[in-house]
Amino acid sequence: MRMETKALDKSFGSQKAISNAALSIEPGTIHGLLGSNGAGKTTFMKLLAGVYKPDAGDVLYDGQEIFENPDIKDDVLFIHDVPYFFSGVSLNDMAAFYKGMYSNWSDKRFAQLTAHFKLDSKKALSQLSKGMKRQASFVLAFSACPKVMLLDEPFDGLDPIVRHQVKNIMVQDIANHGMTVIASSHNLREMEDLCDSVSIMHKGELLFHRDLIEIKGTHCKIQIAFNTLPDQAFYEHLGVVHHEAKGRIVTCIVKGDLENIEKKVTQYNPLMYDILPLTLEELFTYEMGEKGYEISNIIVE
Amino acid sequence: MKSATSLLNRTLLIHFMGRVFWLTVLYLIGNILVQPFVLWVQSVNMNNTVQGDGGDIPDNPLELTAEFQLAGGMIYAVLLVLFLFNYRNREDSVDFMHSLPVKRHRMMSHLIVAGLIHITVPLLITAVILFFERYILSFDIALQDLLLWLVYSLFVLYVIFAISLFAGLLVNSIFNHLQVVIIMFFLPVIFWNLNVSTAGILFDGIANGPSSAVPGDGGVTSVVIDNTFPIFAVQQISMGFELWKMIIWFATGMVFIILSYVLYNRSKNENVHYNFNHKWVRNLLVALLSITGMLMVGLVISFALPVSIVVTMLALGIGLIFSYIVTEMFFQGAARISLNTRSIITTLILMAVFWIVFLTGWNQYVSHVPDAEEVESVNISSDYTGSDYGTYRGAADAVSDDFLYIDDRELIERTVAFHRAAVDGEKTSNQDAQRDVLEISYKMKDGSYIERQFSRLEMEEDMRAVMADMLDGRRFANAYDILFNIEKPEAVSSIEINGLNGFLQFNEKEEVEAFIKDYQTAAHQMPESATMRDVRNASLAWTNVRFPETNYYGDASIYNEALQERIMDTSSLAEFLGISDVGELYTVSLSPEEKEEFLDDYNLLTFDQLESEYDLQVVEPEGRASLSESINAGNLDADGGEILLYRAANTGAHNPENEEGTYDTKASETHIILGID
Repeated sequence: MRMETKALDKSFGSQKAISNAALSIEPGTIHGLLGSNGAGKTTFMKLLAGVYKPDAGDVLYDGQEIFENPDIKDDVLFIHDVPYFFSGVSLNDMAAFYKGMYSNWSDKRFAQLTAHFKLDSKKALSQLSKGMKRQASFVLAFSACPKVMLLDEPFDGLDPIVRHQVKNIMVQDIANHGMTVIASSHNLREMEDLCDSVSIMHKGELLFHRDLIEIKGTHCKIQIAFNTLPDQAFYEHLGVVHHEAKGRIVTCIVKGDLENIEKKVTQYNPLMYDILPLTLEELFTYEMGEKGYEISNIIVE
Repeated sequence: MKSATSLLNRTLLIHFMGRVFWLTVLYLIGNILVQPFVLWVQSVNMNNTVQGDGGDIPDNPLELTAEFQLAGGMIYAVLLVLFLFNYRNREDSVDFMHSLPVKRHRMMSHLIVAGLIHITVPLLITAVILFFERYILSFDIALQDLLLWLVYSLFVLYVIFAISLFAGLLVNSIFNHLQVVIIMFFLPVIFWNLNVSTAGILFDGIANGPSSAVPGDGGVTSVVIDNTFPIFAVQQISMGFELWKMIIWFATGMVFIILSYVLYNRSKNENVHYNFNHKWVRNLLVALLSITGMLMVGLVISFALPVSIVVTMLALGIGLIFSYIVTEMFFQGAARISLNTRSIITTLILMAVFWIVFLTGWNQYVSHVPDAEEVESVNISSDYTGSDYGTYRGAADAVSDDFLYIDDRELIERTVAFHRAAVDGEKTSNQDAQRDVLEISYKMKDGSYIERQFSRLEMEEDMRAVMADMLDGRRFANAYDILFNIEKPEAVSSIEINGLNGFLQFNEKEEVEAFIKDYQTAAHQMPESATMRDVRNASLAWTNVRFPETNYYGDASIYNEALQERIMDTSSLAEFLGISDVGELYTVSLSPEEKEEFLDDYNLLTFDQLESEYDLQVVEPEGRASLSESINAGNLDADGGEILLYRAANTGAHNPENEEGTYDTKASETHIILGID
């Protein structure tokens, strides 16, 4: 299911929460929505879930508005940062409710996942730990078989093993059913190995939206040791967009012709060099710096 | 499961119903306890239970606890809405519910259906229990009454549910929801009563209590009291059902439901962080509550301290500040409040508007004197009358509209002039000062009524004399004769007639009807010249006529042959009139001209003055027996040339003091007169 927002605005009183946000997510991908606390991620997610009505602009799924549209909402499932369950109910009770609300509900999946996560489906959910509640919310969400899953800070409270299992199931659903996942987080590293594309939100604005594979194909990081530090011509020749020098070691982020990068480096007689993959943080350092933002001011881990 | 054809989602409906299940169980238990159980206890504990008018059990036994049961039901309906709607008051729950694939109006429909089911089912179960219980009770419950009880209870609870539902859409907190429900139901009545009470302090002429002269009237305050739904709903049980009002309330409930749909569709999840969804509603309510509090505190202080402009202004100012702070505390749900400029400005503007409307409106109200040409008839009374005529409840169409009203043009013109003098006259400012009370009710030609009550008049002596003369009403005795004014004798349940020393009662339907017809026939046959008939010695035959829903009080004529016959059937006329054990007894023989003069003097002079003016003959003890025999033989004569004066053992007198602190009690206030052959 293709998700698209156009010129999305949302204000709370005089405070602008989302401003002119435009985003397009391809079906069967995972998109990470990044930003610091108060950036507007949750508001944006609630707009995507059709919980909030936009003041202006559209939230479209396959070209249809989601707000007050049950046909679309039937395929879009939103897991809040703090999972919500009715008071005093068990997982089975919640499952019965989901089954009555979502047309794609699968009892078989529910039974499998409940067993997989070793959840006591008859126990009151209020008696479960934070991590168990989070697992329960994933069990319910996966059993509803949505086409789009909106996750607000999805992995908070999950231990690394469960986190890995959840990601696995998610990836299977994406691969087998073309599910689209949009996950918000302030944790860059969490998103790095999960997302196909990411966007950064700051003060209600979407500053950046890029496909990670595309970025990684055009950027790289090189650490080079010299006897004598090179002059400015070296950086221009390599297409360095950002560099740091510590002693005689230079770390560069290079954009552009990555195939001939080794050939170009060796022309300057380095003592040694190493080509490294870029972390998301390093990418953003460059990209956001270019737009006049210090990434550390935008995303705080 | 979801169904394309089903209007309702079973899962969602079950979810909402489950939220209030135990509350409904409690209501059902309570309902069973106050209706079927109480009736069963009555049936078991009372061996010789009498059902019907005057009996232990009313004709409709469900009325025994219906008011209590209905009041409890109304509280239940409010709680039902509070708990059903509570999911809207928390961010996580409202976000979750609104992320579900259900449109808001559909979710609202589920809420409403769940609520209606929870109202209907317990009442239906109670009705079924009552239906079968009828077979084991020692008294009867008519099936029609049972159905009426069920339908009426449903109607009341549905309306309460609808209004409470609407209230919930204005706020985002269960505490505020409850506050707004209470405000919606009771603020108008409290505000209006305080308004009238304050006006009563600042203005004279307002009839704020129920008028006994206007059928069904409850005074100025009743306009709002009778239309406050919870009060109206309970009142109807005892005072009879008014279908048109019920239809209006039902329609009002429907309008609130429609408005609820509109508001719910427009509701914003992000507002969950605010106590109120609309700031202007909040500011308006704060202003109204502050003004209400201002009037309340102002009244309390004004009652405690002597009335003066400075004290009143100070009291109202303190009241405004006090109530504003309290209201903000309740609305903000905290003792530490933050002041909002807009709210303060709204309150100040509304307070200014209130005082402009208040002073202008009440000034016009008390200054208005109707044109005599537009008045059809008039009723005038004062604290001089010492009598209590009319009705305080209902409006039985079985009684003539002319009861208590006099259509004499001269009297109407005099009353209007007197009213104008009262409006323009001096008023006492001190409540403890000597005051005269004047009540005037006009029946206008367009069918409406105008009532005024002046309680702070300072009348000159001649003004009092004019009033006394007007109130004499000697020519208008028929207007005060309740038996004469009954138009539908078949509608009367019973009649009680109290003499000075006797009591007459008619309880049987046939007996009542026959007596009224005989009385009216005899009244019409009484000659015009029977002047004594019109002397209003009210206590001679003080009459209470009972209808199923109301009582009427008035006079009856002791000269009426039908009444005399009925009295003689059970006791003696002399005893009934208190002549048998009387202390002083006089007779005086008068010519027709002398009699007219004597009757005027009877109202104006003291008994001593009357005794010196006229040749009053003391009836010696040996003559009393023959006098009593003569009276018992039916020799009372309203047209007779001889008048009997006596002071009965239990005759009281109203003795208002004049400015000098003395008052000359008139003969009419101490002595009774009777015309005899």
